[in-house]
Amino acid sequence: MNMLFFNLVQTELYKIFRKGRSYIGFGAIAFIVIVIQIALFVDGESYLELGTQSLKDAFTFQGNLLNGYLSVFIILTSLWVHIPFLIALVAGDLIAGEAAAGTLRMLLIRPISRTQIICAKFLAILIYVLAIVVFMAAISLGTGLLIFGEGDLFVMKDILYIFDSNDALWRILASFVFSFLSMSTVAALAFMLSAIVDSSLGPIIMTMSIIIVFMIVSSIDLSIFRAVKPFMFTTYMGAWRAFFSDPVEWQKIYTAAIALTSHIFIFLGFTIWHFKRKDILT
Amino acid sequence: MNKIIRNFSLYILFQITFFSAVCVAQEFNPQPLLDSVKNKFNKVNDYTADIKIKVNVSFIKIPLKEGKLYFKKPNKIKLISKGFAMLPKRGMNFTFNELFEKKYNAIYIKNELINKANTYVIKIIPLDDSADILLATIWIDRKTQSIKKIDAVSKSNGNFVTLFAYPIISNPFDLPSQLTYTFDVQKATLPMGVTGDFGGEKPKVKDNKPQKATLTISYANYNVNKGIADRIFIEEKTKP
Repeated sequence: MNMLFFNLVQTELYKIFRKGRSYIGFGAIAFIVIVIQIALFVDGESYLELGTQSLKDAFTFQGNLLNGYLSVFIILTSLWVHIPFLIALVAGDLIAGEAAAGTLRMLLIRPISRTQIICAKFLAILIYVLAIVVFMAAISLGTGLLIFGEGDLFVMKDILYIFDSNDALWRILASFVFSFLSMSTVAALAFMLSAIVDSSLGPIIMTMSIIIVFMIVSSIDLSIFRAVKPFMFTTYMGAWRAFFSDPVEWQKIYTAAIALTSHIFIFLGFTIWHFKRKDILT
Repeated sequence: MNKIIRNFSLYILFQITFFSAVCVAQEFNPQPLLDSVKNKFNKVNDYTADIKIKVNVSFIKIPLKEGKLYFKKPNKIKLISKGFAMLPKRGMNFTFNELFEKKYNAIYIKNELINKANTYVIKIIPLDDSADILLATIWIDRKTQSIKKIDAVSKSNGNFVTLFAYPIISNPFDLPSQLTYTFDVQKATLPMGVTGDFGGEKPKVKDNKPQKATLTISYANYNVNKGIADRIFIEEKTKP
């Protein structure tokens, strides 16, 4: 039973990684990371100038703030809004793609329940999300440290934080772990939509539209939007930044983690419920 | 009658004492005292010290930093520390020779207690129009003839206050064990695209008014006049 389930997961992973679109995410991340690193190498000082120009009248600075950790932080800041689209590209195709291709019926004749099929597909997409996040962490940290080396981490938020280099790495890694949770929520949403719609393009566009609308609503500080923000999962996706506060805003992280995990279970639960009732004969 | 005479005598005595003190104050020439302080600093050609820097600004959070500070006359300063550190732009060599390098007027104002130390309060008015410092007040310990506090107003940095603390066992050069700087800094407003805060959170500090910064530097393990090579002070190309 378990063996069958893991075989199914393996098959689903094979299906994911066989498709060319699954590598678009890796390619796009690698391209963007390298472009950002080169841009920082050429003009990183002007980025730092933004946060430090007013201080330079009163302070002299010793040491280098433009380092590998800063470059990773900038990459995270730039990409956390855009990576969901790359995830949706794969997760949105997972069920709808099979429905469109007519392979869903073949899948369901196997001696395994529909719930297990959904769980196996979802586990496969989580592994894909993990691969994307690990790849992003590895390539941004690797190239960042290679080009700029280690150093104290300079973070511009509502106030300026400077973290010791030995205090920076765990925060960066923790924020990547949190990013995995955020991206898993996006994957769960796209996966749910994939179970509802039978064309693979539909769930991808719908996921992207939902994220864009939610992100816009999240970024506009109006009282009417403030009331709905707690119910939008995108509100919690940026909570990785709470690791870059001193002290760490654990309450914010816990709340966001609970909210995102709840969304994952709700999306997955709905997917299972809907898929069990799905008419695959027509 | 006797009581009236006694009260009158006490009143006269008080007046004589008070006016004598005022006259002495007005006649006190602070220049020899300032020369003595300057001479003490002039004996220091170079020094190294282990320092700890604590920055306290409402919109900056930076951990305590440690490093080795190199100083060489007249104003070469170099800090070697692991990671990033912030130093005040003014007053790091604590000789404040910029105060005395051009023509100035020194006026004795009064005596004042600072941290239980009786001090002379002396105003320094630079006479050169090009001087950055417009006015400075110096508190000098009457007993040890060491600077306890400097309050300066400059064109470039506004108000700048430095508090001096000395080790219990004084060193022959009267070098401080701690300096506390207080000055104004301007807060930078950062665009959302830079901070990456798309969640619509309101910043904690909204105004852009100058805010007070306090920076405390603790000094230990002084090595004075041992000679420091000039190459130490050659700046590598550093990024901000």
